[in-house]
Amino acid sequence: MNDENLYRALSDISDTFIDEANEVREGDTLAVCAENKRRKIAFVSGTIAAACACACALTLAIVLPLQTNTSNGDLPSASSPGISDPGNGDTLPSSPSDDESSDRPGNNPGLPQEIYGLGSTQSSDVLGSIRFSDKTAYSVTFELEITTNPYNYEIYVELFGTEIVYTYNDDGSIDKRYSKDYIITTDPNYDYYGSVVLENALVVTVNGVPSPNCYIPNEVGNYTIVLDYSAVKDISGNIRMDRVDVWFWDFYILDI
Amino acid sequence: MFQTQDDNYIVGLYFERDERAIAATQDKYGGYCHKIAVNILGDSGYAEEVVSDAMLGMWNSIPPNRPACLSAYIGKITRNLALNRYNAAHTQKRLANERVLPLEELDICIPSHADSGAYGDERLAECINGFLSKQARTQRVMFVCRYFYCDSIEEISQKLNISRSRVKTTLFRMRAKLKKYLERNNREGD
Repeated sequence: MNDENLYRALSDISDTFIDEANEVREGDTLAVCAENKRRKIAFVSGTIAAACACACALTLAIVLPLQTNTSNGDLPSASSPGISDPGNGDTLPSSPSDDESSDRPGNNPGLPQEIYGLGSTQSSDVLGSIRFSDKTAYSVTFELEITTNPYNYEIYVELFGTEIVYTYNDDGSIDKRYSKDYIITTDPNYDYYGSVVLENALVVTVNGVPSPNCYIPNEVGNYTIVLDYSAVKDISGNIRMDRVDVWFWDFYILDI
Repeated sequence: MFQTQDDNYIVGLYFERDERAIAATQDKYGGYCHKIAVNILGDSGYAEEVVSDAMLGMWNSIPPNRPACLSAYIGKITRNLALNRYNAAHTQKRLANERVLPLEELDICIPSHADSGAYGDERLAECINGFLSKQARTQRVMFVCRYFYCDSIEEISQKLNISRSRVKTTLFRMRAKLKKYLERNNREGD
């Protein structure tokens, strides 16, 4: 076989695949990205629904005792840390924790909450499964379970980021001047052709132990992997890592 | 996206040897073919010639062929003609600038001599189809856009609404996987 054979053979790929790709080229982007979009929409919808439910529950929890107390002639103490529920005696929090807001996308250049919502992402394959378990502005933790020995094949983790630079025009409008793509990877052999590689920007911890050379285990077992890319913030404050992919040999196990 | 119903009508015109078939094909698929040819040749003038040849190829091959998917059929004809033109121009150094086809990225996929065996064209195409059928849809679309349509990384990233880095790294992984897939299939076929 030579390269010419391969080029020609690509002309004989299935009409179904050609047509499928052409649908995207002709603008049916939604069809291909439906899975990702559905996931995001589902998560956002779920978040909104959960927020509404919490708000309703909180309102009821506040209003009902208030009415009860008012009818009794007693007002709740403004200094009390929580509102006592006369029904069962449980104490409800007076306000949501302020710590939660610090991880929102607008507040820092870290991972966007809507993609990395805790427990929202899990992927499994015949080789195993992966599940996000925690995140901070500059680190991601996930649980990796390898159930089948993937032979000698290696596992790589890659983080993708983009830095977009804007400038202000005379008329007040804003231009996106350029964007640069960044990749942080544990694959030492990867050929990047064009993207900016952030070397030494990733610290990998496997089951609490720092992993030399960012080695990711490829043997059967359960692993807690922490990816710390806090060094990125020293390179540029504008980079936001927007995706994490994990690669096995035969399977692209995680597609966020 | 093209309407299948129109395609049946156009194919019907070819079978009736009605010359309006060429005009209808040009009207519906002219831009589509031109884009494929430009992606490969990088020259609008050459691309127009290839599109004209593709229309002639349609006239000569339908009948006896009755393509189920006209867009794929004419896409293949255009791609092959553009590759022929590219090779000829490349040999004679007639292209304005020495273009490097996305296809050349696939050189990594060619197994070594020890593993290459006797891959016939049909078997190779069958293997590639088998490989693509095992991929997730997004990855498959990326692969076909890049290596069948020869779209740029930028175009693919815009169409799929993902970063260029991700397109590059996905294609890189797929090339490595394809190579191993071809080697493994060849060994099993021996």
